[in-house]
Amino acid sequence: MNNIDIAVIGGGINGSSTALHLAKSGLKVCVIDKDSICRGASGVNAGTLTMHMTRAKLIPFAKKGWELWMNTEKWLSNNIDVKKKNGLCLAFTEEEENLLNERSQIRKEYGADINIISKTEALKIDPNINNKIKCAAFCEMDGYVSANQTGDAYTKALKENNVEIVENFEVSKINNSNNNYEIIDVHGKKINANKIVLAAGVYLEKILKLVDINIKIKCFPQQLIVTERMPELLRTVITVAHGKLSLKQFENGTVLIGGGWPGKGNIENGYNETIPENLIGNMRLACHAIPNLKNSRVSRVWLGLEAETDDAMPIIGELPNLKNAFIIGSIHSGYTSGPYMGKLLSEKILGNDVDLSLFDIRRLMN
Amino acid sequence: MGWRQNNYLISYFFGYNKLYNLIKFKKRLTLLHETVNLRIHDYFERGKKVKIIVNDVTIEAYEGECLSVVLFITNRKNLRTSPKLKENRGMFCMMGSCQECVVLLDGKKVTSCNIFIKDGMKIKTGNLDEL
Amino acid sequence: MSFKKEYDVIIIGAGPSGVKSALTCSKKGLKVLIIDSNGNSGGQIYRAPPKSYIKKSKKTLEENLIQIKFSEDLKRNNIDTAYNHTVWQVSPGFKIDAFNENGTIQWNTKNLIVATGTYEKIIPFDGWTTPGVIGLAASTILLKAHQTIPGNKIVLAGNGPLLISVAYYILKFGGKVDAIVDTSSKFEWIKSMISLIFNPKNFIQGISWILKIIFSRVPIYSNSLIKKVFKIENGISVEIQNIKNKQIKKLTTEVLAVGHGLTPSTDISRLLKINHTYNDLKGGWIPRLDKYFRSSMQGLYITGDGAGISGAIPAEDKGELAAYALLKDQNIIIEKEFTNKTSRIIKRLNRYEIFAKGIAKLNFTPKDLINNISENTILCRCEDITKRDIINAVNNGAKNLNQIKSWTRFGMGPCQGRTCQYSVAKVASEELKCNVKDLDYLTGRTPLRPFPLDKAIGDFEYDEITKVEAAPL
Repeated sequence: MNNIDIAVIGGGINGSSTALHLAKSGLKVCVIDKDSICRGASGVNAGTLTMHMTRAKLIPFAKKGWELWMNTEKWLSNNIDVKKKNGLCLAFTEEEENLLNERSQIRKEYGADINIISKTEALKIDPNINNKIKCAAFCEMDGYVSANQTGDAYTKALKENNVEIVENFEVSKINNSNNNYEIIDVHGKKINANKIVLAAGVYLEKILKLVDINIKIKCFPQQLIVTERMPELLRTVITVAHGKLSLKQFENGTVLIGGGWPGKGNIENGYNETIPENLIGNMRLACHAIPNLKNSRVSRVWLGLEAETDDAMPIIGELPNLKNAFIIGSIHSGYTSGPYMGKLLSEKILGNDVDLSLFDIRRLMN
Repeated sequence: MGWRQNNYLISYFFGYNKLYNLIKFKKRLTLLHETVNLRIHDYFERGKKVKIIVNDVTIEAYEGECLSVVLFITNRKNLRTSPKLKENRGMFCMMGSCQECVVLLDGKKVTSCNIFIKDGMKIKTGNLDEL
Repeated sequence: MSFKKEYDVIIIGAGPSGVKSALTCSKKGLKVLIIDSNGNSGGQIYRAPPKSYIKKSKKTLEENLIQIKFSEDLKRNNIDTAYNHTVWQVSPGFKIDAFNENGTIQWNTKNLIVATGTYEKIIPFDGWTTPGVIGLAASTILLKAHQTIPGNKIVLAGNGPLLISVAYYILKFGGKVDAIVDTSSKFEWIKSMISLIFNPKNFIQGISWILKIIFSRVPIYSNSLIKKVFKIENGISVEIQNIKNKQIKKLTTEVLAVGHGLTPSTDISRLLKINHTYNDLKGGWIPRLDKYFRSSMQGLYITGDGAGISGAIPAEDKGELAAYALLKDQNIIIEKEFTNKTSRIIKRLNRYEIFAKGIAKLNFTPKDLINNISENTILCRCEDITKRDIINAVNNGAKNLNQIKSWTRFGMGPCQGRTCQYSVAKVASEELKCNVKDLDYLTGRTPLRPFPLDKAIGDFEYDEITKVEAAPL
């Protein structure tokens, strides 16, 4: 492989979006992944595109990301399932009602068009929800993507834009000399590039060590539950005040239950398992929100790893003390804003004026 | 044994077999009101006769029989439809593995090969995702 | 039955090997629990009739007698039995989660014996999803456990000894077999029967079955496969094709029972992420085990047909061997007793291998069956994924089964790939011109069976729901 302008290490939604936008600007790009691309969090997350659960400070970015998702045929693919849906965030107790009012207000201040509505109005929008709710928050800018299609869609788009995809390449060393980076895998294979972007998701802490940067990145295994196909069980995307539930029903009738409930996992050996009381807790919350969900059966449960920095804010931008090295990762609701964050970083790399100060990695370094 | 004796033996066997089967066939016709009863009653006595409701039609079965088997032999082989092509699907593996025999039992999806008949069960078959 | 929270050994699967493991462990004083999703012991091969069936005649099928003895032995040895319990998760350590009609339950143990047997391997063909087409093993269960003949007119197809066994039982019970369609040749049958001579009892039984079929004048189509099936007014139309001369014969019948052998159930071993090895003669992917059925995970033993297909006859021996390995590993028996007991069993198993190999060859999937699958044939029944969908994914760059699954949705339905994984792997490997083992196998996932939500959640008040930290703002 010759004359690579930029090597992106990590082919998830952040890395692949960055690569795609760079390639569209004419650069020769290579995406490297230790597995197949988009098989990490990007391929197994709930695919929720909601403002109700997005970190308040990230709302402006999530909104732009949402716009991109609603127009995938323009930059990604015709064949990925994206649906715009109304989003309802529910409160079941007085305490939750207060929490909902407070959080929705803050999110609104950051630009999300969220409004509190009454129980009656909420039931009109979605008659399937539990009629014992106190109130709900409503937002039209909501919906979902079928996350398991991410890999297929990005692979095609990257190939169409002449991006080299190198899979099953586990990076073990990064050498920097003469304005050139040499990326070496566990078997000794080498890739040379002028610039690098570190987008390795939950493996960012490990990869950063290869360039002598030490940042703690926490990994949270989170469970997801999907039912078999069912007749209509809900017609909106459902979340709850404290943020620990997401519910959506795909066109194929399956219902995906998420919400970030923790499981147990080991990033080293890849082993993960659910914590039974969390599995039951998540299911109970879901069935409380949509009572008829009780009639279905769970078809699959799996866990994905979410990466988070110490202050739960993303890291995007230049790497300090290194020339031509960049980073993108640890973005909460990263699936929604990933395509936009990748675009922002690509603009930065191309030399355009982009303000990424909010995400500067130096805040996490001593 | 000579050729003639051999043949005699074979046709004796063959004839006996046919007669034996015919007697069993007729015997089976007299039990339960169906065209031909496929239930074998030689080794076991089944439970008491009960009624279940399948798509609003009442049918007779024996208590404790397997639901998917009863539906299969009473000419109700179409249990559900496939998701994309909307093909009819029915009982296939009988081991609780393939999930093809799913029906609605009192509103809930169940694998009918694991369900045993109780009096008054309400079953729905057909396009379960649109019922 | 009231269960304990923890047991010395838990055995999943109450078929012949699981039961023998349980008895062997219990005789040495261990607290044993045996779990099965059926209502009784016996597994699939000796599956008991429903509890509501009362024995009426003096004559009993041999299989019923074996099953009754299993149940009596388990009871006499005070082994706890969790029938009608479906295991939905197994975690290392081990924690076993199961559900039954009343709710969910969890058991702990340091030693787990997995004896979950097999599934039937059925290679797809045009119209195999038509209602009325069932498995050969399925028809065995209908006949022997449910005492029911599948239909008034039946065609049997596929390969292996099950073809003969099902035909025999249908005829014995007074049913009609319209045809037997066997992918093997008569010569291959004779070769297998020769290896059967090492088991005289089964040899004679096999011969008597074949004779009954011949005397009943059942048409036998050797070297043939099912080309196509479709629904007609009062039944189904079956197209039989001769593999050699490609001639087609059409038949009208009511039920088609088809099976191409068995494949080990690896749900639990894949979920626990132990290593597997590919061996077509043993049924496909099998867990990597030593000769005493120990896996690479401490405390985990996998036995019976789930360790590699060898049939019902050596199943009890295999279960006993695994139990002895467990007992030795737990220092309950010493080296001398271990060697004593196991060397005899191993000698028997080695002698049996000759026969097992001969029979296994009959169940070997001929390439003709794979080539017979047309582009429009559904491979993944749960999600309606066709052969063309799989080929497209492979041609677009999907390099292994997990990636093909991610891109096509095959294996994402309620059966989690149990029915189709084998054929999808064969089709993909043909297209990629690689070995099936290079495609790896589907990652095991929880729940092991579709898990009814109402059973999972039980009755609860809102404030009883487990509290988790609220998401950050």
